[in-house]
Amino acid sequence: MPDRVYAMKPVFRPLTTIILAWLLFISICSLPGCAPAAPSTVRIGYLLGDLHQLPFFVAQDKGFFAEEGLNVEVVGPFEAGPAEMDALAANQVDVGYVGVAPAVMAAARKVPLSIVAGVNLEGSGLVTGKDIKNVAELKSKKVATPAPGSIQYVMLGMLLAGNDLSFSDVELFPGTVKPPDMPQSLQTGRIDGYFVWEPFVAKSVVGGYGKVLVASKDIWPGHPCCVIVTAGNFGRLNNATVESVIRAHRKAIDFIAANPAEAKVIAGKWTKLDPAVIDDAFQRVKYTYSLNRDDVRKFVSEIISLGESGAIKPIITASDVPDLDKFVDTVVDTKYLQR
Amino acid sequence: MSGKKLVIENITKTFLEKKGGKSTVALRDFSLEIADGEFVCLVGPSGCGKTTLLKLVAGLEQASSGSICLDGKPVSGPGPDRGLVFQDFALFPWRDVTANVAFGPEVLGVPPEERLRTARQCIDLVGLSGSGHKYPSELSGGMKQRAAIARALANNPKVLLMDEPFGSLDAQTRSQMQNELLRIWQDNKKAVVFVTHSVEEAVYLSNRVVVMTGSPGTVKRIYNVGLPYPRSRADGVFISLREEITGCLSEQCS
Amino acid sequence: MSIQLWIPNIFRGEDTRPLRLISILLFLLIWEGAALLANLPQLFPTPIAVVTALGQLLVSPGPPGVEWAGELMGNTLISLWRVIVGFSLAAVTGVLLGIIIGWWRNARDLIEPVVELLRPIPPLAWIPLAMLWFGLGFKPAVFLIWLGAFFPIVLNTVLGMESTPHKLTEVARTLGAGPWQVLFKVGVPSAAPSIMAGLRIGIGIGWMCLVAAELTGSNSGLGYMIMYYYSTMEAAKTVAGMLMIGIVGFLMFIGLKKLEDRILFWKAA
Repeated sequence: MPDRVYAMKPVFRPLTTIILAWLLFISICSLPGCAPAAPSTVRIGYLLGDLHQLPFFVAQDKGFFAEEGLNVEVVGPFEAGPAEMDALAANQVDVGYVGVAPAVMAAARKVPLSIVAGVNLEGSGLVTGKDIKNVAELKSKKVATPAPGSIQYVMLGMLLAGNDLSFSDVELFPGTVKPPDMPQSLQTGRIDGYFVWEPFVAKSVVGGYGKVLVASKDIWPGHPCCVIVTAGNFGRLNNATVESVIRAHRKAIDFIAANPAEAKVIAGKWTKLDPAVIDDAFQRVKYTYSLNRDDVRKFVSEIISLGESGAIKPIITASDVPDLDKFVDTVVDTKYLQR
Repeated sequence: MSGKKLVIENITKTFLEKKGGKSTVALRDFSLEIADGEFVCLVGPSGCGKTTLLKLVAGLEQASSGSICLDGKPVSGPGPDRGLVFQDFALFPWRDVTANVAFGPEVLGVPPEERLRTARQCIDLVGLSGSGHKYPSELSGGMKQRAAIARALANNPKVLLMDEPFGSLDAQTRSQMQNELLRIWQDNKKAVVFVTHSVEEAVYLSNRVVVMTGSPGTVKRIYNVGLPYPRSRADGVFISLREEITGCLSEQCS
Repeated sequence: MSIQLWIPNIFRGEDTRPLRLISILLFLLIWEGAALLANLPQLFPTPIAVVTALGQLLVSPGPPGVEWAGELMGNTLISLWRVIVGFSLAAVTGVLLGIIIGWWRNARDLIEPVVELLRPIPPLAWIPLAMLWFGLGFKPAVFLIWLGAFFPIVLNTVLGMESTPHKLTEVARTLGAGPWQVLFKVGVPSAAPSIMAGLRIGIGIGWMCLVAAELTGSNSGLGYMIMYYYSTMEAAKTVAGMLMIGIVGFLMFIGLKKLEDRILFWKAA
């Protein structure tokens, strides 16, 4: 049989290529995470065992979300902020309780998101063995933090820079040890120190084998910590839902202030730690729903200058955010708090 | 031909089957005496125990009863005094011809120069001169068998045991190898015990042909082949002897 | 795209190189297109971004101890060193144990059940124990690599030893070889092809375990580098790291294959 009879007409060749390419693209897009969520359910992400996120735990357990008519699908817990932001970018999370540093980092990477409310201030700390007297003694010691890009990672950089040190002076293990494992790692001597969120700071203190060398509030009093972030598309399309989330959130914040004892019980349940640890940790966390735009701006500029000075490996560079103020104004959206 | 080199006396070999517990008697009351320098062939139907006997003499199996003595001393395990040549050559594929042939002296602790010399002599003897560096995968069937014979001879064994060594060669190479073997044998005059299916081969090669019964194997009849070397297959005596032995194999023996 | 595309390989005579090149180009084009369409440059990088990232990683300062090598090569060297150590340990212990189990029936009955029990456990599952026993850094990584490489090496060595043709050991014995000589002059050389295959498989698995090992216990190496840039949402550098892992793995495979061909030249000429 002559080849000619079966050969495809020349005009079909580019067409076939395009169809094949399109099929490939479609199949990639049909992978989970590509399609946006249905508006009736809101997917909320949170961090592992993080006492800062107590307002979320309270809102869930006390039914504040349900009161607002929200159907919450809980996503997580994530081991660190950057992982949660990744999920947000991949359309797996609609609303996230996360640290402000990963949030601005994701925003600097052009992930569409908005910071819509605060969750807490302060509440992290550098824990070391009792034998370490000051930050200078951290030289060549093993220090663990959550993943690179987390607040604790950045603030450790700030602390070291303030003491004329940099990340290269310590043996840093970012993201290697899960936050709940950090106290035990310190106890067994696998690490010499760690910078993490409460209540894992308190755990070593209450356990008697560690001490808070530096609390995060000592590095920057009143620093913003966790915030509520909405995925770009979601916020725009579901104004009412976001409003409801914020309303439930404010109720939770007020509840914690008014009923600390019950709040601590809820905290113990979600972090799986006992009352003594929760008690100790509680003192270092300040819950608030307010959002300070200038503080966010300060955080971003700190990250940039730390990267430039070489204290930390650059996470956000000046070229990522050429107009810092414009960037911050795009990212921070306080309109829900003003209602 | 002088003295009794190899004395096989009333050998019985029973194999116990692992499952079922059945036992097979491979050899029963097998006796044979072989003189030094003698060429003896064993022929018999399949399963008559020819290979088993060879293995017993080689020491790779133990007899259930009876004795095998070489130069008056009983045979227990395998050793360099009895050389063994297999049908499928069993050359070591990772060694070249020289290293294969030198294997025996090597494991017996002979120093390198000496064993290289011995190897070269044996290689020359079997007609493989110049192929010492080749590997088994580069050799033809006939060359491989020559190498195997050279290897067996390198230890200067007292008796050469050959288990259908030419069975896997084509007819032309086979006949060539038969002549080669005779030449080698006449050169070093060792006792040879040769197992074969081919009556013609047996008559062509040996001084005596031992016909074995089927399982359990024992000596049926021994024929003397008095023909001078080199033998002609067209010779009348050759042909009638061959017919006789073939007949003896199947039914009656005279 | 004519009927010629569908000719079975065995009928082919001519060179198919042009088609292979087209396949790679097509892949790159689709990748570039899909990435641009997805429009999330920091999560779904274009091929060009990855190449740029590779360039950046080649010149940025390397991890402590190998700053001079640049970030990409420095981390590669660190990972390579871990694999070399882990694999060497696995090769020595694996071949030794394989010889023992494969040669002596009693040893096999004694040791094999334990090996078969542990083998199905994926190296990933050993990570918590590894960190418990060895802490952080070099040691747990080496342990996990050793684990990954060990079992295929043992398995293949046992196979090789067990398949030593009986005729060869019989011949050796008739030539006067004692039991240890039979083991080392016949058993081991006969098993060599199998052992080499086991080593080749072992280093492949060991290299794959490397990433798992480094993800959880180290602060250097290619595996760590990938996780770092995943965290800081610099996907182009993550993919660049993945590419490097693939390239090194491929080179190791080729290297071992060449070695194998050299050692086993005596097989079917």
